[in-house]
Amino acid sequence: MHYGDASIRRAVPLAMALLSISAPKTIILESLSKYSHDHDAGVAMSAILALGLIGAGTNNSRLAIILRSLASYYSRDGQLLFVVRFAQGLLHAGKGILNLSPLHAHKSLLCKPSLMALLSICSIFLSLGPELLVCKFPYLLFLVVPALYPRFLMTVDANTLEPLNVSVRVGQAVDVVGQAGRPKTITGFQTHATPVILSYSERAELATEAYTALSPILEGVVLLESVPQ
Amino acid sequence: MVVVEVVIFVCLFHQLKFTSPPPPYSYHIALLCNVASIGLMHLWNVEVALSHLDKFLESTDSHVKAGALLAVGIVSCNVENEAEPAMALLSESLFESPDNTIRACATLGLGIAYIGTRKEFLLPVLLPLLDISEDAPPNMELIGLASLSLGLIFGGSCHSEIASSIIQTLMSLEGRQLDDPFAQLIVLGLSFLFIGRSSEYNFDEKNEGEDMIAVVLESIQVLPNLSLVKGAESLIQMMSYAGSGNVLKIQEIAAATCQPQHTEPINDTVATTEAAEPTEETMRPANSSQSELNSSQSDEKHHELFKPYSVVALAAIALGEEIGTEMSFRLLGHLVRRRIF
Repeated sequence: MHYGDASIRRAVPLAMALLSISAPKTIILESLSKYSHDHDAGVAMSAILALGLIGAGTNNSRLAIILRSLASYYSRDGQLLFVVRFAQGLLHAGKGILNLSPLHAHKSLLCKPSLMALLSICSIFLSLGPELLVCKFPYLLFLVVPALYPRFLMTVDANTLEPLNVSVRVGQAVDVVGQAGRPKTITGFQTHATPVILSYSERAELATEAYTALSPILEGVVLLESVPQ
Repeated sequence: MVVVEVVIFVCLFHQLKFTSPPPPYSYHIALLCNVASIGLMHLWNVEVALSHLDKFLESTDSHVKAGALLAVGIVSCNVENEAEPAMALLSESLFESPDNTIRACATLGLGIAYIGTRKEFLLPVLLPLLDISEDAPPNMELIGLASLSLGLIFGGSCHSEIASSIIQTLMSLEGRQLDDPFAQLIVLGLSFLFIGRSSEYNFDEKNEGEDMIAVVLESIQVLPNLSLVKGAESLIQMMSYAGSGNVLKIQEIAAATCQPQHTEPINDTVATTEAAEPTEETMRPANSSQSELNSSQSDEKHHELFKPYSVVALAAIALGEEIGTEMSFRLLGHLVRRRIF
């Protein structure tokens, strides 16, 4: 972080965050927490905002510790502290049931409005500059709202549209593309009753024979139909 | 009124108690943001939120009212409501209020409330904001937000009427107004119209998106502000390929990001000499000795915006694809460490 064009260095943390929105992978977390102590306040602010974006709605405890220590480190600088508080707010968005990821349906589809919201935050940060954004136009940060979406699985009856409580297995997703037979799509699963929260890289499958899902992708709101005995 | 006092009290308390350094924003902005946060607290619950916001919408304080309008936009985001309460409330104050803060927040609220919906009834509300009257100096903040909102609402639609209005606005602005940071927002709104419309995505033979992007890129070339043009090119490229995972495009952008700077800092001469004629601006790249002198200053002022946009574009194009994401992450690490002359 000693070389490189000043304007490029400000953009790099935001670009890194875009690559893993609401998915605090260790390698990205490490680099961003390094940049968050940069001597250029602009780079530090963009790194802290990026930390908030990658942890948005995850309640990640490691990231929470990093942000708390940043808050005490920058306790004398109003602008940086504001960005730290914003990142902390994003981290605990909806007490951990919301996320900002524009990807859905097993990360195969891209939600364009959500992506527009995230890209507008990044572009506004770069074009207005951190000082102007934080001091004069902090309300532009509300542009993050359209990207907020709950990361739950909720099941409803297909005929009555009443919520159903059925048991589902939730576990780490496994890539089974191109494998023969019917390989397991999740590993290390636990059984829960819906509604359940699915964290990043987790997937669900029905644990009961009494219902079939009308959608092949168990995410968001899913219609269930009971199987005749 | 009691609630307004409570909010004011909360703001003051916030200043005294929680942040030992003074907050970076002014008291009025804090008031605006606090009221707007009510929208976030009742997200997607329009009826309840409106009953809470009623008293703030009646407020005589322009910042409280602006915050309440933004809150109306926020709660209505991604919610379908046949009565269109956000449209009714926001467009009314947009037409009636002379206050710039209220108008700016109502514009932003409309953009947030109707993001991605492409509803045509918003055109007569938002398009007039792009018009520039001859007698009064243009309010760059309002124009920028109106363009941004139009871009958010009609994202990826390649709407020709909006595109031509935005370009018309850019043409009628003067050189110094184009240096304003909010001019970048106008361009951002323009680029949102083409999100995901590169040939990569289009399976039909006509490929209207690609043709229109070419026309738009052609027509913005005449703008006197070179850094704005470069920024716009970069943004439109980023948006049209966003999420496509196109490796060739990523390599092309990475190469452009590592190029040494050819372009000139625009503002330095404009600030000293009043004249900002287009002919003079376009001739400037030939004047290389001055460019080297000023290149360090331009870094400080961040007029050279196309490079940071290109960096974000790398991520925006690669996003969503496992291997591309890993490759771009490594590429970004190299960009940081590389010294660019």
